[in-house]
Amino acid sequence: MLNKVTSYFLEGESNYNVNLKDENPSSFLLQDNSNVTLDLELSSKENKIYFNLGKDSNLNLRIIVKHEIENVELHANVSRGTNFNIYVVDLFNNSITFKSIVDLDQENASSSFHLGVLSKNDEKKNYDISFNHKVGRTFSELDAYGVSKDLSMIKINGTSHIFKNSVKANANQKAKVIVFDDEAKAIANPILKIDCNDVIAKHACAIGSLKDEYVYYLLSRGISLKEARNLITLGYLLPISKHFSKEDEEKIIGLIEGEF
Amino acid sequence: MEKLVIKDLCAEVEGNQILKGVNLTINKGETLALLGPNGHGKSTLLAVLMGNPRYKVTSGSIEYDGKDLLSLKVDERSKAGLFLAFQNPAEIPGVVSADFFKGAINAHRDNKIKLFEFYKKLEDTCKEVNLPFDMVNRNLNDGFSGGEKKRNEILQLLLLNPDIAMLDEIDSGLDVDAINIVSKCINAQKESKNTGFLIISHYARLFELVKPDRAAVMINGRIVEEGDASLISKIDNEGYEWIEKELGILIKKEETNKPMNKVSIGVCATKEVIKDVK
Ligand SMILES: Nc1ncnc2c1ncn2[C@@H]1O[C@H](COP(=O)(O)OP(=O)(O)OP(=O)(O)O)[C@@H](O)[C@H]1O
Ligand SMILES: [Mg+2]
Repeated sequence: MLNKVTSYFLEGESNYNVNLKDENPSSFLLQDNSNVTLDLELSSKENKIYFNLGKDSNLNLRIIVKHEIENVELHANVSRGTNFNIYVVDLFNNSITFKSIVDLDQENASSSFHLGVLSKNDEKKNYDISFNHKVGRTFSELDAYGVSKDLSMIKINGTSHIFKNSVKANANQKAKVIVFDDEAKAIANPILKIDCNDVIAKHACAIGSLKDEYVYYLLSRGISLKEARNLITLGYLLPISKHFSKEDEEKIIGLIEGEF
Repeated sequence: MEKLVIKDLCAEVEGNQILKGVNLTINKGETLALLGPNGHGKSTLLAVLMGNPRYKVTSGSIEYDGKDLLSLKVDERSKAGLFLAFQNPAEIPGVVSADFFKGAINAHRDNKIKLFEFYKKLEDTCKEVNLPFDMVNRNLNDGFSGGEKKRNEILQLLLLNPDIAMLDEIDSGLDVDAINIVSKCINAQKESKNTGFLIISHYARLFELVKPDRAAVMINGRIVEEGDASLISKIDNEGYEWIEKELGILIKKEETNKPMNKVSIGVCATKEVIKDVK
């Protein structure tokens, strides 16, 4: 590797706030037996981030995607008994390609990816979220909510790969995107690669337009057109905000409400 | 006193004329039963009254409290005191029921309801219609059973206290206990708020419980017969054939090829939807 890797060590019971500027790529090492929340601020166009998670730990990674970001590539290895939760809110940046690959390397490793994404104008937002169940008794979850407006597009590829002999692996995918305007577009591809019996793999994806039928139902109860559109849309984006700090949560809600 | 006066109402949906000159009056506080064979325009009439944008009124008038109802938007009609319990209530993913109820209640009053008062009211009303209170945290009608959806409609009726409530086959898909609960709610609403009801049903059972003041029969997009509640038992016993004979009306049989909705929600492997351009 030509670039120097900047490394961060995460340990204990703590909250970290890290602003990545030119430290690219960067890597985070989570010690065994720790419980950490990491608020990660990304500032450069291209971002390569590695995570190495020790045993019997928990890491909550929270990212609010900002304007200038074009590419994010996240790789993680999760050890035995460790849980890695990723929360991404993507509301006000431009087009983006976000790739996340989480390897569940040892038993009882688990990971979840929660996404709230809004696209507007002619933005294209690509999310490629993969979980590799390398051994049995590993657990993964994708929970993605999106709203695409104007001429924009949201594409969510969720890949769950359950390797040979990974018995009792459990992979869950859920993607719900609402298409707000006539010309907006949304694609959700759940990809399940399963090389083992005795596993649980579920996926549900729903792509809906802001259907006249929905709006009419709300209007018929006295709710105004503007409020009806808001209610339908806010429901998709708000749930992710509760995973962030109180301060960020308020910021996110404010931003979403300002948008509609 | 007249509350809702429908005169020579003609309406079409996607170019098909369904209502062909409806004349019907509903008085204040009155319960009117609307009967008629499948596919003859009953739901269409309610859709037009509520202002569903898919239906186009081609002629005729509707007066509500002496004012032109057709000039009001859908939400304005609700605020004016009209309520429609849908035959098939929409499932709305992403909208939490409680948020929706709060929005609806607030639309009907000048100052916003206090949170405590709201939850109290919601809890009491859930009990009345026998829906578990947890339901209010779920998305609106999303995954609700048929009977739960119907009771959810009654729940909203009770929350909004309309002057006129139109119930479209509220009893279909309800078990015996649920029919009893729903009719109890209707009767209580009549009693305490003097709400008028326009009730569509194919079954005499509901009508036995809510005791309509009058009944009307819709055939081929027109009201062809009006009378007191005895009309209901006559139809229950004899069907609609006597109308063909007595009034010389040929009853059109329902077309079976109803257009499919363009539904784009569901569990899927790969799905790509571009919103239909209207
Ligand atoms: N969007 C539509 N496009 C074309 N025809 C429609 C549409 N909606 C309703 N219709 C037709 O209008 C007619 C009247 O339908 P409506 O739902 O009013 O009947 P109904 O009297 O309520 O019947 P039921 O007792 O079965 O509920 C039917 O023939 C129906 O197929
Ligand atoms: Mg009907």
